[in-house]
This record gives sequence, structure tokens and C-alpha cells, in this order.
Amino acid sequence: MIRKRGEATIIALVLLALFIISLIATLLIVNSAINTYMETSKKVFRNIEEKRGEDLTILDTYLDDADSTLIIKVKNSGDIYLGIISIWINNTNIQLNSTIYLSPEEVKNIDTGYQINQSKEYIVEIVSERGRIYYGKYPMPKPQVITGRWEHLSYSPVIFPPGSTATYADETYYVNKYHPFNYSIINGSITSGSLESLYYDDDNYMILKSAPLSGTYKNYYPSAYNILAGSVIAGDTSSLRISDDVYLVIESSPILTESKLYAHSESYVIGSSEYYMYKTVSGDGPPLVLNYNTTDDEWHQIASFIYPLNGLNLQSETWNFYYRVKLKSLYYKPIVINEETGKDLVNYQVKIVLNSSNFNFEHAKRDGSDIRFMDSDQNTLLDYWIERWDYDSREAIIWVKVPFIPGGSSKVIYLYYGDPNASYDPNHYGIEKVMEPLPATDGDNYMIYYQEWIMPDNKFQLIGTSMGWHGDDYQWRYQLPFNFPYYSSTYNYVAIASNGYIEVDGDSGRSDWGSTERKFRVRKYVSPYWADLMTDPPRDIYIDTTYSDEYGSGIYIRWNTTYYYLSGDQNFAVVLYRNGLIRFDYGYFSGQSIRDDTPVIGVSYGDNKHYTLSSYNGKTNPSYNNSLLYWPRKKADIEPSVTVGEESVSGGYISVDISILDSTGEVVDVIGSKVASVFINKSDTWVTLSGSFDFPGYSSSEEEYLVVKYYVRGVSGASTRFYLDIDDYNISQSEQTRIELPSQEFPSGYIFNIEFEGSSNRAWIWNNITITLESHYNFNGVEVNMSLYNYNLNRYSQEGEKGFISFTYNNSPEDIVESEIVLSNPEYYRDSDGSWKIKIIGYRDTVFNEKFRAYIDYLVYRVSFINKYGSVIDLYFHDLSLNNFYSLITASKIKYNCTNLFLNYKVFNYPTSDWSLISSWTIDSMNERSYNKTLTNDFSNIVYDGMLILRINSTLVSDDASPFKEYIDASIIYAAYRVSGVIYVGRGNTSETYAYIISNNTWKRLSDAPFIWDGIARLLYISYNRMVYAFNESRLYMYNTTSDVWVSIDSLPGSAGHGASISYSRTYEDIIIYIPGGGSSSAYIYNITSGVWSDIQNIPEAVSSYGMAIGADDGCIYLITGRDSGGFYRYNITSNEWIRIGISPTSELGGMTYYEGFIYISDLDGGLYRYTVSNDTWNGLLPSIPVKSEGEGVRLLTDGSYLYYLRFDYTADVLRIDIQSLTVY
Amino acid sequence: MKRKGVSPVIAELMMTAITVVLGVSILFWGMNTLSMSSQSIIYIVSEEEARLREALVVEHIIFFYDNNSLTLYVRNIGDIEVALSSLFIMDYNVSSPLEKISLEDRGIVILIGDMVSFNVQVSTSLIKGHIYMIKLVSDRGVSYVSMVKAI
Repeated sequence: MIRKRGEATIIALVLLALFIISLIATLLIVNSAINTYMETSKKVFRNIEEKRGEDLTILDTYLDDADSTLIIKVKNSGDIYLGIISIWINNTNIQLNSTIYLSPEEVKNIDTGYQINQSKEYIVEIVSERGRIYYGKYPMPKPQVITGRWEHLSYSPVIFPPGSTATYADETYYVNKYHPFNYSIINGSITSGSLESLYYDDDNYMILKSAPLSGTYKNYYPSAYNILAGSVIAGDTSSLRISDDVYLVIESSPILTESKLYAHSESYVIGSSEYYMYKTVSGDGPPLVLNYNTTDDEWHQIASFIYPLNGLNLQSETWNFYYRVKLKSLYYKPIVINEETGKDLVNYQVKIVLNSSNFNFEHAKRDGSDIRFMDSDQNTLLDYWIERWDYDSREAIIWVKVPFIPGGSSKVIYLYYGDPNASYDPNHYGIEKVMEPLPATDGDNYMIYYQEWIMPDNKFQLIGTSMGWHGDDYQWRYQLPFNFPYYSSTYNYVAIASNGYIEVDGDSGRSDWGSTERKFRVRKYVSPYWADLMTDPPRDIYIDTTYSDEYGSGIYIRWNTTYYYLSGDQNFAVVLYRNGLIRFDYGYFSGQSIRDDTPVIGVSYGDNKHYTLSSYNGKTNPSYNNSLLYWPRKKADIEPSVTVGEESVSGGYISVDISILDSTGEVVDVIGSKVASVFINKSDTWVTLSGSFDFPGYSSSEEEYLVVKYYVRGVSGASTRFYLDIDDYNISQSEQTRIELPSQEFPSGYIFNIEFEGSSNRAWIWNNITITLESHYNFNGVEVNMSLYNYNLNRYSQEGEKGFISFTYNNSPEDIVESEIVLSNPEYYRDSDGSWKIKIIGYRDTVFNEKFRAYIDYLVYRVSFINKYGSVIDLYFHDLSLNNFYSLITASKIKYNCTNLFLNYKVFNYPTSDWSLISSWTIDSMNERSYNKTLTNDFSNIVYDGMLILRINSTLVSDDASPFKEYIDASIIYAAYRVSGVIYVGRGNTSETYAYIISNNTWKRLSDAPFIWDGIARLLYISYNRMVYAFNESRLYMYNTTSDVWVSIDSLPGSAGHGASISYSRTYEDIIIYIPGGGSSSAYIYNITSGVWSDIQNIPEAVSSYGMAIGADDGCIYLITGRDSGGFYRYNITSNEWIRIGISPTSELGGMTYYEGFIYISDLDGGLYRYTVSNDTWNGLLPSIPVKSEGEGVRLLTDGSYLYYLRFDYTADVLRIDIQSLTVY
Repeated sequence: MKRKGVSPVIAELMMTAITVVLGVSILFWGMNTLSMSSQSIIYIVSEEEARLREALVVEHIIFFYDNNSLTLYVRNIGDIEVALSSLFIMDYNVSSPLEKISLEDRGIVILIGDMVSFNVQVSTSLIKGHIYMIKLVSDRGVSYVSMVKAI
């Protein structure tokens, strides 16, 4: 039982387990489905999310230039990748090869390959893979943005009701009226009235009583003159009346005081020559030293001086000339040569030894190059050569070749020196000039001798060609390239020995190494270093056959030896010159010979008579000793003795030529030649010498000159320099270069003295006297005194007193004006009959005899008196502005109680601080009259800080009349200002007219119109004549913008009604077109110039309320007919034809204005429209006018930059908008 | 009184039999019920999931004013093919009533990624420049609305 129960339970459990398993399986399947759904949902939501983040912007659509296909420029402006799967252009689907992907911010140009017509519009659709469609257009529409804004511009001073109307003036005037705010009486007095009396044209006068004028004067001129000094050479008293080019010319007279003429450094030109000056004053500046160097004994001009005579008479007397001179000349000494053998010597070389005891070395040049020798005649230069010149130790040896020395007698030659500019004379200086030419034979009392000269330096040179002469005790015969003169013969061959000598005319062979003086004297040896030498290799003998130097050309023979046997080095050389000179050079020496190293040195002819042993003879190893030069000379058996004499100076002369020149520089008279001559024999020292000359006398003419020329003469063959000192203020007058004339006097000054006489009217009461002199002079520095004669003192006024003028003239050649006023007791300066006198004295110092002339242009004796009446009042006006000042009218109404007056208007000129006369009238009536003067010049001179001062000056014409009265009724200044951009406004229901100046936002009330602005009346500015024309219902008027005056012109040809207008053709500037409106279709033109009305063709339809017309630049008039029809017409003046253009955007106009091809109109709701004349197109403009219009009237105006809108709706508001900011639609 | 009873064996057998029968019945009922429920759930979920996978875009519509028809270009951008069921059109400018055009008979099936075009005649007067609402409905009941200006 129990078992059975267990089985059932098991079965139940099994079934339960199966169920559970089935349940779980089902749940798993369901779960899987739900999971799939969830995944899909997620995907969808993700797509939605992505779709939100997706965005595409079509930046542009344009044509491919190459094939006219459309290209779309797109940008992924979203946050995620974007794929383009389809593109539509209008109704055509563009097949894409694949999806076009764009990453965020990426821009792509998609070439659709679709050809389009450029002139048509297309719609572009782009489909993204997420299903969004993006639209675009071709062409891409431009964004329309309204940027403009009407702004408040101004509030008018009054409100403008409906019925008001306006016009725009591009350039016009407005007039300000100024009344004087103050006055001052300059002359006269006020008897009644006040400042306000001048404001209006009425019966209220300011009455001025005249007073005597202190400024009245009369000029008197000289009627005669008396010359007290000088002379009148041109003109007369009539020349003095006006300032012009006509002069009274007075020539001055000399004042003779000086009797010396000093030489000065200033120059003066006469004709083509320039001269130094003689003056009557001593030297007044640093010295000028003139110099001249002569080398002969001819006269030479060193300087010339001039002095103007100007008509002076030079009397006969002795003139003394003083020269301050210095000389630089040669020194010389006589040299006395005594011949000792008793026989003549010819061309003999004399040795002269100078030392400090017989020669002043300081007078010679440091190198002795200025030394010259002259023969006994002191004229023939001798050849000479300086063997030694030691300036420092004051020793010199000079050889002079004296042409002839008489036997047993003495010979004098001269030594010259001291020219600092001298140098060795190439024609007479040099050893070759002095030496005895070889070959030469001995004379009776002399023999040929080679004189040794130890040269001042070593001339050894390592030159020459190796001869390959090696050996010991051998000599080689050598042919010279020239014939060598040697004593009395010439030789072509020499033998050159290894032992250091040359045997003249020797042969090759053995050389004697044992040198002795005895052997030397009997051998024809030229022996620079005869010793026991050897030239074993590498030693050798070298020869240069092209050698030359300052002593001549020749052959250079050089030894390089060693002592026997092979000890040391010896270097030495011989130069054999073609002219017979012989030179020994010594280089490096060393070593010693085991047999003979004591050389024999010298030259020898081998006859045991003619030889010269050197001072180096026997001197072993003379390393680099100075070279030795052997030069041939005559050597007397007994050498002549020489005595050097005392030193002397060569000296020179100075003298003068005297002549007279005319003004062209030509000589008109020669007075003396080389006179006043003086000899100078002192060297290098300033001295003042004197000479005299008997002057024969001379009467000079004008413009003649005394010329003194200084001449110098030196010594032939010697340089002599003369110095002439002039103009030196550092030395006393007695030492200066000058001429002294014992009794003759020259001018120290010039003077003129002239007395003028005149007359005057003494009937009046004199205030003062003014004397004025205008003059010039042909020299500066003229001192002028002018004085009035004082009849009270019975003399001329003096310095320090009134009536005396003193000045120094320094303005040549210009006129100057000098004036003197005598305020007190002017009656002292006239005689009882009114006559007066003025004396003028002119003086000028002269040191060069300069006669001057006075040119008097104007001389006046002015009398100021008070017997004349006038009134002067200054009226002050202020607040005048210079900005845009156009014209100014000074307007006064005045009358007088008499006639025969002058009336002057003057204005104060600020820059000159004086009064400028602007107008003048002669009063010939006692009636009140207007005296107006219009000024249009530059006002900056007469208006300063807003103030203008008007002077009204009334003066009686006659001097002797009685006082008068002046009645000034009004005095007003009308100032017109030119302004740009003005709106003239007629205020509705009133006659008031206003001008609004746009530039400075200023309103100005003008004169009232002579009619009421009733909504029909209109006004129009005409730029042709800058006038405003207006009409009411019956008449045409004109407003003058420069005078602020309305004028009624004419009646209208047809009554004006609603919609009436005037306009003008911009082509025919003087024509106005008048359209009466009020239901009429008639129209008229009015010619401004001729003032004639004419009918024109009727308008095809009637003009009613709110109609308006305007002229355009094409010369046509454009008309909108108004409320009843709104027709838009164009009137061609030339063809007199109205053409209907179409319908206006509005028939009820609030305003109509025009600027350069565009007509702007507004409607009553503020709508704004523009008509383009060129293409006949109307466009709307945004933004609209923000207010509505009430009633008729022109309220829309333009200056081309802005549209202006005057509300005329009981407000004072003016609006404007920038035309460029308007949006066209 | 003595009651007459059944034998225990029989009783045991009977008890076992009853248990088996009852258990099997309950098992099969439960399993059947479970199966039905799960299938229903799976279907619903699948349908909904299919609707989610559906996505169409009306790329372009051409208006023919002469015969008052329009041609639609519709692309399947979803993950499942879509059969179109109907189209609705309404002129926004005049607030016309919604006009329904059945597409069931047209058998328009759009495969994944494909674009189909089809023309429909409408009774609403098509006016150039007017704005129209076009609504496409798939056979799964998914609708696609486009606002389009007749050009």
C-alpha cells in the first residue's frame, strides 16, 4: 500500500518536472523574441536620436563654368556623419553612384552633372540616408534683411499742423539781421535819441551834433630853397610834392682836413683792374704783406694804390713817400785765391773750407743747396761740388772749378747763399762738373791726381755674374765694355787678380800675392784690397757690366775671396766708371792670411809718380767701411791758398710810378715814373724808408683817380724777395706805408646844407606841425639833420628840441621816411605871414674821398588844424558768425540839416588795426535817404570774435563851415549765410515760414509769407537763382533767401485747388511747371527769367487731392494725379506731351521727392515707394514711415543721403532715414 | 451496520490511475496553455519589431495639374520591405477634407533600399503654390507624412 502510494508520487513528480521544463523552455523562447524587439527598438531610437543630430546646409548652388552643370555646395552642419542617398533637381532625380558621406563640418561640392538653364530657377532636394530632406534653390536666394530705421532728427520750434508743406534746398542762404549793441562817439555829441533809435525805420532818430575835427590837416610844400653847402644837380621844389621817382638831387661838398694818404688792404675796381686803396686814415686792420721775388735787375710792380680825386686840385709841392718794407736777398762773400806756383792755373779745382770762423752757416740752408759761386764779375756762375757739408758742426769742404787763376797773383770769386727756396743748381753743381775730364796730361805746374773722397755711406752690393775665376795667385785678363780713361790714356783691357787688385792693361797669368807700396807705385794697379787672397771654390770674382748710379755708368767688379790659406771671407768691389771715376766698396771681411793680410789700397799709374794711396791703406779687414771715390783733378805743385772774405747782402730798390686814371681805368696823365726810389740793403728786417718826389700839380676832373704803383728791382742772377707792409694798425703812423703832402689837404668828409622855404595859411588854429622827409643817398652812413626854423627863438631848432630830426641813413638805395611832429606851440614855427623854413644838413665821413649825393623825394610841412567839423560814431555789432558768411549789407537811413558833406562808411580792420573805407557818398540833399553798402569779400578781417565795428563818419566838405547835425534813423546789418541742406517749411493755417538747417539742426523763422499756408499752397526751392517760389490759390510769390523778403510775382493763370503743385525742370532751370489741380487737367509753365506764363498740353486726366508732381534730371515732370485715379504721368517739356506711364503704387501721396534718377513717394499710411526713372520700375521700400500722414502737403524730402519726413500732424517731429539702409522689395 | 467496501488494491490502483490521469491532464493543459501564450507574445513582439524596422521617405512628389494627379517617389530606408496600403492628401490652404486613396490593390511593395514611384489620381483640385499634406500608410500601419508645396 505504501509502495503504491510512493509510485504515484513519483509519477506526479515526473509530470511536474516535465511541466516545469516545458515552462522554462517557453519562457526562454518568449524572452528571445522580446530581446529581439528590444534590440530593434534601441536601433530605431538610436536612428531617431541620430536623425535629430543630423543637419545639412546647402551653402551654395552654382554653375560649373565648363559644362553649365549644377554644382551644389553642402556642409554637414550636424553632429554626426551624414550620407546623401538621393538628389532631386526640380522633378529630376540625380542618380548617385554611391552614398555621399560627409563628416561633421565637412564641406563638399557635389557636381550633379545636370545641365541647367542659368536664367531659370530650380529647386534642389537632397535626401539623407536617415530620410531627411534638405531643400535649396538655384540661384541661391539672397537674404533679405531690413536694417534701416527711421530716426528722430529734430523738433521744430512750433508744431506743424496739417496743411503745412515743405521744400528742400540743396544750397541757399539765410539772413540774420543785426542791430548795434553798443556805440561810441568819436567826434561830436548826441543831442537826442539812443541806441534803440537805430533799430527801426521810424521817426525815432539818434541826432549827432558835429564837432571840430582834430585830424584835419593841410600839406604845404617848399616853394624855394637856398644851397648853403653842396650843389643842386637835378630837380627843383616841384620834385618834392609827391612820393615818386622824381627827386631833388643835391651833391655834397668836401671838407678838406687831411694831408696824408695811407696804404690800405681794401680793394677798389676801376675799369677791369683792381687796386688797393689809399685812405686818409692810418692802417686800421691786420697787416697785409705784399711780396714780389725778382731774379733780375729789372723793375717789377709789387702793388698799386688808388685814391679818387673827385675834382680835387693837387697843388705843386714835394710829396714824401714812406715805405714799410722788408727784403730777403742773397748773402755773399768774396773768396780770395792766391796762386803759389807763379804760373797760371786754368779750370783749376780749388778746395774751399768753410767753418764757423769764416762762414755764418745760419744764413745758408741746412743742406747747403743754396750755395752758389760767381766769378769775379759777380755774374758768371761757377761749377762747384760740396764734398762735405756738416751744418751741425759748422764745417764744409767745397770744390770750385775756377776758370782762371793768374799765376803768382790772386783771384776773387764770390760765394752767394741765403735763398731759402734755392736747391742745387743742376747746371753747375756736381762732382762730374768739377772733376778733370780724363785722359788728361800734366801741366807745367800741376799733375793729374786722383783725389780720394770718403763717401758718406757704404755702397757694397752683391751683384754681378760669377766669372768662375777660381784659384790662388792668378789674374785673368778681361776686356772692358768701354774704353776706360785712366790718367793720360784710355784702356780697353784689365787683368783682375785673385789677390784683390786690377792691373790696368794687364795680362792673364801669375798674380803677386806679396803687396807692398813700393811695388804698388810702379804697377798700374787699381787696388781695392791687394793682399794674399785666393778664390778657390766656392770663392769667385763677379762682374756686372750694366752698372750705373748718380756718378755715371760703368762696370762693377766684385771679389769674394779667402785669405791664404783658406782663412775667412773677404768681400769688396771696384766700380770703373766710363768717365774715369773709380770707387771702392767693402763688404764683410774675416780671417787672416798666413802670409800677407796687410792690404795695399789705392790707385796707381805705375810710373811711381801718379798714384794715390787710400786712407784705408794697410787697414786689415775694413768690413763695411764707407765707400771710397777717386775723382781726377789737377793738383798744383803748390796748392793755391784760399781766403774767405766778409759777408755782404745783395739788396734792391723800391720806387713809384704816379699817374691819373679816368673812370674807365685809362691813364689820362703820367705824373712820374720810378720816382722816390730807395735802396734797401738790410735783409729780413722791416724798415720804413722814405723817398720824395716833386709833384708838379694837377687839376682833376670828376671821376678821376690818383694811381701810385710801387715797383721793386733786385740783382741779376740772385733771388731777391721784397715785402711791402700795408694797413697795419699795430705800428705807429710814422712807420706805415703812406704819402705825405706838406700842405695839400684831402677830404675827411662831405656835407650838403640846404634851406627850404614855404608858406602856410595861419588863419586856422593849429594843432600841430608835422615835417616829413623822404629821401635816399648814394652811400650809407650819411648823417642827416632836419630842423624847423623857430621864429620865437630866431634860429633853427637844435638837437633835443622839437622840430629837429636826426638820423643816419643805412638803406641805400631805398628811400626812407623820417617824420617829426611838433605838438606844442606850433605857431613858433611860422612867421607872421605864415612862411616857414626847413634846413637839411647831410654829412658823411670819408677816408676814401667818397662824395655823396642826396636824393630828396618828398618834403612836406603838414599843418593840423581844427577849423573843420565832422561827426564820427562807431557802431558795434556782435554775434556775427564767419561760418558760411556770404554777404553783408550795412544799411543806414540818415538825414542832415545841411548839404555839402562827405559821408564815409568804414569798418575796423583787425589785422591792420586800422579803418577800411568801404563806401563814400557826397550829401547833396537834406532828405532822409538809405545809405547801403553790400560787402561780399573775405570777412575775416572785419569780423573778429563775432564783432564788427562800423564807423559812420560825416565831414563837411569845406574847412570853414559851421557845425551840422546828423539824424540817424536806422542802422542795421543784414548778414547772409550760405548753407547747404535747408528745408523751407510753410506752417499750416498760418503765414509763418521757417527754415530748418539740417547741418546744425537749427530752425529759423523767416519773414512771414504774404498768404496763408492753407493746405493748397505749395513752395518750391529753385537752385537756379536760389529763390523759393510759392503759390496760394491765386498768386505766385517769390521768397528772396539772401534778403529774407517775400515778393508777389504774378497772379496764377488758373486757381489752385487740392492736388496743385509746382515743379521745375532740371534741364530748363528757369521754368516752373504749375499744375492747378482741384479736378482740373490744365497745366502751365512760368518762365522765371521772362516772367511769362504759358499754357501747355492738358493732362489726359484730372488732378485731384493728394496729387503731386516733381521734376527729374531727364528734364521731364513726373505727375501722380491724386486720389481720384492715381495715374502716373510723365511730361516732356520739349515735345509738350504728357505720357501715361501707369498706375502709382498709391494715389494718396504724403510726399514726393526726387534725387538723381529716383522718385520717392509716401502714402498716407506710411508706405514708402521708389520709382527708378531709368528702368521705369516701382519698388516698395522698407521700413515704412512709422506714422500716418494727415492732410495734403509735401512732407517727404531728400538730399540724396537721407529721406526726411516732416509729420505735419500737430507735432514738431522731423524724422529721417538713411537711404542706403532702405530695403527694396 | 456494516458497510460493504472496495479492496485496497483496487483502491490503490484506482488512486494511482486517477493521479496519473489527473497529472497528465494538468501537465498537457498547462503546457498547451503555456505554448499558446508564448506564441501570442512572440507574434506581437515580432510585429511590433517589424514596424520599428520599417522606414520610408517620400523623396519627391510631382504634381500634375492637368489630370489632377501626382507621382510619388518613395524610398525604403528601413530594414524591412514595406507594402503600401493607402495614401491621404489634404490642401492646407483651403483646409480641405482628408482624401484617402487606397493602394492595397496596387501591390506596391518597396524592397529594402529601393525607391519606387507611383502615380495616384486625386479628386482634390491640385493648385499650384498650395501646400499639401501627403500621408502614406504601410500595410503594417505605419504612416509617413510629408508637407509639400505644389510647384
